[in-house]
Amino acid sequence: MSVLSIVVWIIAYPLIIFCIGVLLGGYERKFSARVERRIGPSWIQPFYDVIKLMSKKTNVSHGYMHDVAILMLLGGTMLTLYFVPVPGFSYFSQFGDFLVISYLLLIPSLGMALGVGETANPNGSIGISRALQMLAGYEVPFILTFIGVAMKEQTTSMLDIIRVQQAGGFWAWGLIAHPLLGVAALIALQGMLNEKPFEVIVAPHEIATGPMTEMGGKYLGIMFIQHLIAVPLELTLYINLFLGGASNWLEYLVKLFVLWTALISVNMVFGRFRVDSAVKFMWKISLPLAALGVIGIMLNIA
Amino acid sequence: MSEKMNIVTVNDGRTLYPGASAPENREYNMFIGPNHPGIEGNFALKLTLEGDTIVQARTDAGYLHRGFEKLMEQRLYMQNIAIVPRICVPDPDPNEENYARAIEAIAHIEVPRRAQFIRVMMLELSRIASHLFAFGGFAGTLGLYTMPNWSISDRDRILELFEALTGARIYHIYIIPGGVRRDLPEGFAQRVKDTLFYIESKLPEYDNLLFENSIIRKRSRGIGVIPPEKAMEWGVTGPNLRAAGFAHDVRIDDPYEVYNELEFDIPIAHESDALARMLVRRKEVEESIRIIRQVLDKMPSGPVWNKQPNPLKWKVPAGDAYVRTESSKGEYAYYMVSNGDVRPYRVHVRGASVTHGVHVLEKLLIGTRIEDASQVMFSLDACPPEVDR
Repeated sequence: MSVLSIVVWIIAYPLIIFCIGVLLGGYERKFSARVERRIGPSWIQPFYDVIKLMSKKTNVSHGYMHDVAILMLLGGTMLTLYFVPVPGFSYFSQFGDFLVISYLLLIPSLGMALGVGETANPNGSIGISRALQMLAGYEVPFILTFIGVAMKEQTTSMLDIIRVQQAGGFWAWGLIAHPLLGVAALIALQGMLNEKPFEVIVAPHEIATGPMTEMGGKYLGIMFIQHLIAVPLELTLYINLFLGGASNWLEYLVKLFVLWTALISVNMVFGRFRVDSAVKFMWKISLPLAALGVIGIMLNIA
Repeated sequence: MSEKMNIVTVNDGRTLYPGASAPENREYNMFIGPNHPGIEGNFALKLTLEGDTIVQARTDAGYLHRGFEKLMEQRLYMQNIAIVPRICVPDPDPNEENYARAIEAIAHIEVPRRAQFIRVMMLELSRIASHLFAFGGFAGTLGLYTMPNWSISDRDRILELFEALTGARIYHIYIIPGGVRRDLPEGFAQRVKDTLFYIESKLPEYDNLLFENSIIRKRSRGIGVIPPEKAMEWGVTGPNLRAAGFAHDVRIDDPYEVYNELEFDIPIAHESDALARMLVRRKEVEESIRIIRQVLDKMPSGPVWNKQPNPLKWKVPAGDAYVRTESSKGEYAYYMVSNGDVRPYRVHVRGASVTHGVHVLEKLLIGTRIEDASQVMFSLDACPPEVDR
């Protein structure tokens, strides 16, 4: 890969993922509207929302750490993005495997915790404490599923894992080859994306949108942008580990939208857990499934 | 640069949130409302929490105070008919019914049989509409946003019936002293039957989505329990009382209009928690459908209004009356005093919402976790404007 193309990709990649995030966000709103017997907004409504928020004048700040932490939230997500391979761009993946990604994935959560904690709004603080509890809930099974995949494929490189799956065809996809790990990761992914029944962090009726309560204007705009990048990022992680990755952008987008449809369908028909129930569910269902999957791989039966 | 200079830094030096107490005291204050997704109408809760648990709860009403009771003393009897439905927006007809019946009781006015049947139909349609609203509100507190969209769009079909009959969707101003304002338009009975059939066909979908939803059941079971031994003492009525195991219903205990000629059951539950209260309402929708079908089948022909004197000069004889109605919120009563003038001397509204939405709610919230505060409030199904009246 030439230096010029790397530079172009560094600039273009987050923008492309952001655009995909906008489409996924718009699709979610359109999809949920149809289920709810509404027409719903435009497909690119999230883009309009971001433009509106980012064009607002900032009149109130909660201090230096608040401002920095919000950038940490977005920066951490964008940094993680570079290590997740997509068709045509996997340059940085050779320098960082899944372990790097799992470390980097923590940065946005910590950034949000620092920034929201600085506002000292109790709704925000409760939201953050819930976010960290949920992190403990979904992170362990998700990491464990990766350990299982890594043990099976004898590599921690996401690129190699994709190659193995693509070489073996459909039956080599992670979800088919080791279904326990695939299902465990899928449940963890639902929590990671803060979709119901694990939508405990925002929970408008309980804590008035939690971390977002004290955010407005550009701060909220940055949170929106981060969310719009984080959604395709986390879905791509799952696609790469369990759905055979993608060899071209069409395949990638199809897998992205199919997976997203499955997750938001669950989101539409469930209420939200209490936070303790959400963590318990992760530890009682997702974690044992992942552990069984790993044991199966150790015993060479899955 | 100039924009940057205008930025105000709040909470500089990381001071405590203004509502927080001293650090050694583990309690802090939180507000739900008046501007909060989890509040029911123009209303607020001032909570003191320790961790996630509510240790003290105060309701903050008054955001919708329009002085209805006092206003009614300044207006003619006929003018007040337009005021009373505004006391409870989701279920306005019991107000019209009570107001009309109080005048009829004082002035000894006989209501034509057909009008009595129409009134029952209106009251039951209003009950269904109100319960559908309650289902949506309750589901929303638990994050199930599909349900409010479904149930409120189904409620719209009932509002369309109201519009066809009365010209208004919410404030019908239809039940008037001496009967009802106009007879059913042609084909209206069939429209009602079709709507009832539609709503009945949707109930299994509601069950799947809300009432049999494992997460919803898990979250609302055992939450906000009204101790049955305290229910009467606290003045609980309506579905909230029936969910505590008491088969008390004004329609049966003190029948009005033609309820004593109709067959229906009083659904009860014994758990007395948030889930039980909603399940009682769910079953009541079926009973209301049953009642309306009987009303449509048995409705006699004849006049719908016993004509009264010129409303601008109408002096209701001196006297007083206490009338009550079973509304979707609970027992709803009016006490009216007339001194023989063209205006009422006093109209007191005894709504169920002061009891449920203020006194009972404050008791139930203590010991409840913050995530359940909203569902407890919505499960009681109070009506903030009725608290303020």
